[in-house]
Amino acid sequence: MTDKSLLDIRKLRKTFPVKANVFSTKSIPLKAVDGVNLQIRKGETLGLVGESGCGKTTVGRCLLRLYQPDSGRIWLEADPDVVAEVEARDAEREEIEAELQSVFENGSARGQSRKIRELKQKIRTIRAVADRKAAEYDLLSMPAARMQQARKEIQMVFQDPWASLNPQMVVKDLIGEGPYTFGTHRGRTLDRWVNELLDKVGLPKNAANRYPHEFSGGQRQRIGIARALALTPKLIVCDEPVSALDVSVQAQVLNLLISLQDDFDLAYLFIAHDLSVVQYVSDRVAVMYLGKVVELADSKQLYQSPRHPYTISLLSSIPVADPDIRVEGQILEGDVPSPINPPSGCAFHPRCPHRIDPCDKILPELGRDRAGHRIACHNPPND
Amino acid sequence: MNPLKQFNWRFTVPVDLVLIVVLVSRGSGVFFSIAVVEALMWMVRLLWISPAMLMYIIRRLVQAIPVLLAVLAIGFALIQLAPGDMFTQMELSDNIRPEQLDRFREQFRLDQPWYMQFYQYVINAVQGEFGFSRTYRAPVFAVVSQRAANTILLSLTSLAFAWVLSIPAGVFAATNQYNIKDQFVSIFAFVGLAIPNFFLAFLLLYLVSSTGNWLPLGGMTSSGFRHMTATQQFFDIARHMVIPVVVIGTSIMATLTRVMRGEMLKIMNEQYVVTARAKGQTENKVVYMHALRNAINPMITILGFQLGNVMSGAALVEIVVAWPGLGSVLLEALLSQDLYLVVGSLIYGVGLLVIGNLLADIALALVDPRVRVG
Amino acid sequence: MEYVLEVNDLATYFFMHDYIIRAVDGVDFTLAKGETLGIVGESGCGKSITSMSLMRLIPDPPGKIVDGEVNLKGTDLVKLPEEKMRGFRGNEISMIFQEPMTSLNPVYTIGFQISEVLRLHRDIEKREALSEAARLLKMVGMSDPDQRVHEYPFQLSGGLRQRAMIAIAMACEPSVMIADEPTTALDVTIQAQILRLMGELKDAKDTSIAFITHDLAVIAGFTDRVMVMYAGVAVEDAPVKEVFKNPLHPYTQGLLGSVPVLGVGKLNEDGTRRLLQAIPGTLPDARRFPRGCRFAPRCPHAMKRCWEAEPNMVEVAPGHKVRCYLHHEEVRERKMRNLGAAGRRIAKLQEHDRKKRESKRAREERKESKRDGVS
Ligand SMILES: Nc1ncnc2c1ncn2[C@@H]1O[C@H](COP(=O)(O)OP(=O)(O)OP(=O)(O)O)[C@@H](O)[C@H]1O
Ligand SMILES: Nc1ncnc2c1ncn2[C@@H]1O[C@H](COP(=O)(O)OP(=O)(O)O)[C@@H](O)[C@H]1O
Ligand code: SF4
Ligand code: SF4
Ligand SMILES: [Mg+2]
Ligand SMILES: [Mg+2]
Repeated sequence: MTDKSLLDIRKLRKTFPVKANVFSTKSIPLKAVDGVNLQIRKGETLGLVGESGCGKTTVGRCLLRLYQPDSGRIWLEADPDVVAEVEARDAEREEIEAELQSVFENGSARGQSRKIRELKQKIRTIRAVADRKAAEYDLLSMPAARMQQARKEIQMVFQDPWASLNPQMVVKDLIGEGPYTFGTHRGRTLDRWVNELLDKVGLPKNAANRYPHEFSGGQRQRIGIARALALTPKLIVCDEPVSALDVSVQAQVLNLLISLQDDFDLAYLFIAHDLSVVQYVSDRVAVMYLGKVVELADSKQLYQSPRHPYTISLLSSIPVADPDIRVEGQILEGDVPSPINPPSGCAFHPRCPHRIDPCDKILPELGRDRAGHRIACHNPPND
Repeated sequence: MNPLKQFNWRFTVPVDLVLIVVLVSRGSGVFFSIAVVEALMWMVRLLWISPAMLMYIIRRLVQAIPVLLAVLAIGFALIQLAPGDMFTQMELSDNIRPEQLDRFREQFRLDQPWYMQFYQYVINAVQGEFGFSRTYRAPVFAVVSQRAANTILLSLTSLAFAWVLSIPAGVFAATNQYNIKDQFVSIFAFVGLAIPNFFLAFLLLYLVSSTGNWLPLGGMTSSGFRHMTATQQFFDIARHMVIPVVVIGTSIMATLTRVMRGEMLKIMNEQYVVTARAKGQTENKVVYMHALRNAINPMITILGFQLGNVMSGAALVEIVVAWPGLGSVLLEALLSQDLYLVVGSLIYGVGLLVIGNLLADIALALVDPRVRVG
Repeated sequence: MEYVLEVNDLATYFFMHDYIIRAVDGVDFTLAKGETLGIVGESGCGKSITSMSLMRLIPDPPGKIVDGEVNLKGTDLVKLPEEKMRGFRGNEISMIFQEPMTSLNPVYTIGFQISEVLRLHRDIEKREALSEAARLLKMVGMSDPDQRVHEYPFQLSGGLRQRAMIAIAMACEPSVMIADEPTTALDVTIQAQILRLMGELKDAKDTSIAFITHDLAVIAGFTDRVMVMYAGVAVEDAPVKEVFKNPLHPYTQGLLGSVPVLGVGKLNEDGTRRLLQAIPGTLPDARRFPRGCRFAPRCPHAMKRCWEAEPNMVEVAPGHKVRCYLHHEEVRERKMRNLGAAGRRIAKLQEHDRKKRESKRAREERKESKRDGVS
């Protein structure tokens, strides 16, 4: 399957510095995304779901380098040999980093400054070598020129159709800005291309010369989609593209996204908190909890037989549009813990009904692979 | 939970009183004792109300040091650039003996290189020694302190005056939005902002003098002040304060009213105001208890910014109405080229500003639970 | 059946500088004791303004309740003087809002804000009110209620704040509680908690609830009856099962078809891409509604007469009312109906004027005849 891989996210980490309180100067790291591995294949839709604040948007924004991730690699259509080699180097580096960490933790750092310096030097060289190797395919270590090219391949549709379009620009310029700066279309062809895009997203031709404020929310979202399509990217990150829209308009936009996928051979990273919407558009779904992926599976498998306790309760808290079903499934108690100070071990353990002994100490890895259906859990109830 | 947090800090107020009484009875000045005791007691209270805030205050104080040092350096440079030293002029007068002058010079290390002089200057400044005023023939600190108290009195009264008027005015304008009353307040506020202070001062002086001098036109006290009873003294000063307070007050009132109106308009549209109404609360309580209480926080925030305005505004007005404050002493000192006095009053003014801003910050923290508890 | 709340022909307009927004344009519904009514519709269709009208909390100016009555246990709230109305708010009829983050006052403690409503409507001491507040917090499922009463809203998460709002709304055990999208801003897991809590409280206190939402699925398992609103009017009003199993109005059908239902994947059985049945177009501008049926521009079944006059609400089965020509039997009272809702109101006014004129003329005639008699 790797040959069809479009984007391969490995060990992505992003922390935000936050102030402990109003008066403090020191900031503590908020782990918004904490070691996420995901693969997006060509032409597929990967759904990303989870409660508010679990890091969905942050993942999406890291892919576009709107946020600068702390560490990790994002492979774009990479040569598997290069990936394997860089991974080996990275693994080597991590080993040394762990060693360095243990030196610090043993409290014997004092007398070993020379060793520490050596280790640090080693880490630096290994990283430099790996980055140089990865530079061709890894979005995070690419040189600027290559990055500029790669940017064309990934575009984004934002949640808020009111805030994401520059009110001073007419629709034609909004959509044509990307192709113009990248030089893919110029002059007459650019106009023709913009008109074609407007047609594709179901807007009238005369929309081209109007300003965004003249459009309704659904129409603005269409403009946003046209703008994302303008560079014929291979992947569009859709961050809650329909949650600000009315239900009836929501369906129009979802239908549009689905039909465009075939026309343009697009892959979507579809971020949403509405699980029914995600099920409706996705081929595969990843469930996030506190910055980590806890379950990853085919859409069908995930919705029919969820395995992770969090996914199970998440699915059972969705209201069902059928008045005969009044039975409530298992309702999760409590709130999502703060990512500033996440619980130890499995971050879900304070709310988990299937918690067992090691849950609060040992972090479960995403594994227990069953035909591509993977979970991060020590004690899955249905396995 | 920390059991101390349950303890209401208001219970510690008697301790302040006792300490102040003790200090005063041991011969310290009243203002001095209050300032010292309050500063100390608040540090102690903060230690358990919010240690983070205590750290913040200490940090702010530390951050103020470079500012003050810079001011000192500028002042010192001014003094160095001027010909002679501060005692040169005294040599000319015959009632000071040369030995005495030499002793002064030694105290200020005027015989040593400039950096040693600066070092000594800073050391002296920390101890409240800013040198010797030529015109007053007294230590600068003593002269300036007394004047500063007058300036503080004037500024605080003006601030209080402005607040007491602008809060109701802002609320009134906001609750009568869209109609003529609102516009009246807005126009008034605009005019208050547009008229320069000194002009308004002259205008008032002219009005009062042409209608029969029913208010004193300048100074701080009348001629027979020493022979008055305490009550008479109080009213005498109050009468002298009317014109300067109105002048300074209106200029800041204009800003305050507009901020207040804007905040109230914003807050009256907040969801929690609707919640209060939905509880069946009376409109008065909705406005004064729910909305106004929230509009106060930004007012305190701008208080910090306004202190500078108030003090500089006060300085100008003092000169016009001959109020014996920092502003007028600065002018006098400039005119008579009494450099040490100039520098001393500048430093004093900056010091007051720094402390005032800090106090405004603390006040904000005390009224805003997000800052206080979080 | 005895109704706790009866709303008849409620109309609330906003009088702007150069146009009028007909936000609510003739809404009728009833609420029986212990009943839960769902009010559904897209944003801007007048759900919130309906609920604010019930509480008489419309910002005036520019808003005004121009017509109708709101009968709460025999009292018409629309005609009540403001002072008396205050005694009802929070006491007999209370409300929960959409944004838990902003609906509590940030500078007062939770305990204070709950005891405020208790002290307004009950003769109760401050201290007693506070312990009552703690009891209420416990009732809405907060741990450590004695500690929580001293906390400020910013110290609570969204779900906990919404619980505190429910405590405020339930404090005086009102007969009617209006919940305006109480779970829209919350995560599904928290939404499930809040829905369960509201259900339990309703059963325990026998409160009638008007539950406003734009999400049909939320009310499926929660309400007894559903009223679907579109562009300021109710278009369908039916028992909840009827609405889901046998929706009659084309708009209701469209709404049901346009939300992806859980269990429906990307592909159809035969492997083709599944598309939602979207409703084309958008909600009409509240300044200028179409002359006929307000849904006509988006309706797949629109006929000629749909464009000409607004249909009436008709009862097609016991308890199932719908406003659509497809379900009108014979055209009765054709003239009245042709005028539409707003026209009817104007006609009412004209009628009123006519009567006034007539009685005036009658008075004058009587006077004249008297004079004639004397002379
Ligand atoms: N610019 C930022 N500065 C500080 N913290 C941030 C920033 N952006 C996000 N966070 C924090 O990172 C975490 C993850 O945020 P993110 O926006 O990715 O969540 P999300 O899953 O998209 O949530 P939602 O469903 O609410 O959109 C949250 O705790 C959030 O508060
Ligand atoms: N304060 C106001 N001034 C003018 N128009 C308003 C005001 N509040 C609401 N409206 C209008 O009334 C209509 C109904 O709004 P609302 O009841 O809030 O809709 P929703 O069904 O989403 O709750 C909308 O067209 C809205 O624009
Ligand atoms: S690892 Fe343990 S606590 Fe975490 S989800 Fe699995 S069973 Fe629950
Ligand atoms: S009345 Fe006509 S336009 Fe309106 S919903 Fe019925 S069929 Fe459609
Ligand atoms: Mg997000
Ligand atoms: Mg609403």
